[in-house]
Amino acid sequence: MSQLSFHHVTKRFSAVTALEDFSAVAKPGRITAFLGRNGSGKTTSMRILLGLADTTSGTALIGDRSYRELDHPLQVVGAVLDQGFHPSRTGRNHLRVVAAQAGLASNSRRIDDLLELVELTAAADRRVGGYSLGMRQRLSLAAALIGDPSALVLDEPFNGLDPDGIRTTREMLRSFADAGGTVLLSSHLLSEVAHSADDLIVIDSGRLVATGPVADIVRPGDDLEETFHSLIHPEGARS
Amino acid sequence: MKTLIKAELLKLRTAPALYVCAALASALTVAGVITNILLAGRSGAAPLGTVENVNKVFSVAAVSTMVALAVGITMLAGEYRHRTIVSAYLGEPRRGRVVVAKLITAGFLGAITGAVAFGLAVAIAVPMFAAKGVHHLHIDLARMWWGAVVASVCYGMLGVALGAVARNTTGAIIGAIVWVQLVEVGILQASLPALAKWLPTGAAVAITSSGEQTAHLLPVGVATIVLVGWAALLTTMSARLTISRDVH
Repeated sequence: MSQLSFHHVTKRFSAVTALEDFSAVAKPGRITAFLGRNGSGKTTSMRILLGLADTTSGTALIGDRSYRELDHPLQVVGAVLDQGFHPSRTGRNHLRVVAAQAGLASNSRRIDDLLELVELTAAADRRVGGYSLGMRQRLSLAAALIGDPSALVLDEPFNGLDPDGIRTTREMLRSFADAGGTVLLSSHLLSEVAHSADDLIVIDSGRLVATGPVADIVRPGDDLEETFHSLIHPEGARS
Repeated sequence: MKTLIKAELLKLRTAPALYVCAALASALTVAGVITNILLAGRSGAAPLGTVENVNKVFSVAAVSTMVALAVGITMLAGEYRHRTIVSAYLGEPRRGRVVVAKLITAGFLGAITGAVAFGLAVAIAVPMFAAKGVHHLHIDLARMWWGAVVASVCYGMLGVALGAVARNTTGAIIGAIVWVQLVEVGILQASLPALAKWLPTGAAVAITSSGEQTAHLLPVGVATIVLVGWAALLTTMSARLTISRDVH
């Protein structure tokens, strides 16, 4: 199983520093929630981890290798970022394309199983352009799972999902982690994260603010939302 | 690489752009052939069966190259437009391999487009010429056919290069048409022919034409090298750009 790790990562875009000496780890068998305000560096970190952006300095590793060094990356890490869809392509064909470009054997049974898992069987042969936000999100999750990976990197996976979809996704992630998988997810839904996460990484303005098991970071008597605000705004913490 | 090329073909088969381009190429080829035969000798057009007229009838490369260019643009700029480029690079993070697969696929489809469009033109034109009493065509059809294939291959690859730089499908296609039809054909070939013949369209016209109009163009062999050189140069430059650029 693959540990996901950031080692002293700095990323600068011209004059803007998106990440500054950022180090953190997401461990196998755990759901690690990546928390921070908009623009805090969460998505940039995930893009660096997935080889979509370069670091200015430092490294991000899947196990002991960078994403670009993986021979069959989708069999190691599945990701939900803001991947787009060709609106004229059906949901089933989207998954066929994702499998094909990752060099995974064309397996219609696997695709059928994933479509069933994310409850898109009935809509599988409809064009994605007609899907709702929640349906697209579920299709993204199916695509992330297509290589049967040992780690998942999910940027706002609960966005657009209805309550049933949120619960199904939460249960699926729990099963994935309980089977030894690594889950790194970002979310602004702190109540959902409180239900799901084992560990936290809190980031602000590109710098690590806190990391560790939820039980060690959230003080007794506080909830995750209170703790998050006190970490991000220590000067104005409500206690 | 074979897997990536298969993936590119699957992408094209499961989206409408390829079918639209194929239909457009067929329609424009048929219309061009029929129009140039029916209007021969009228309104200043060359008489039927002359080298100039036959050259015009078989100038289908003008269509096949632009269609191949549009398909090439769609293959990469379309991925940025729909943000499917993220899935493409997650599946194969060695981006150079993705770009090379697109170039090979675009070249392959360009070859098919050039060959089929020219074959279609021959299939329609030869019986029409025969019906009007023209039984011998005074041009080297085999060379023009080969020229249409080579030019379409190069333009397909140039389309991928352009798509990598522009990342905007509509803008890239409009920009390409403006460059080819207005800048190169409309302005440079008329005002600076000595320069224009060394540019991609000038070289493409040289290898896809016969008759007097080729007199001011490069010899076929040199033109082929120039066109292939442009394709190699521009695709290398754009590949380097797309490989090193962050995907946002």
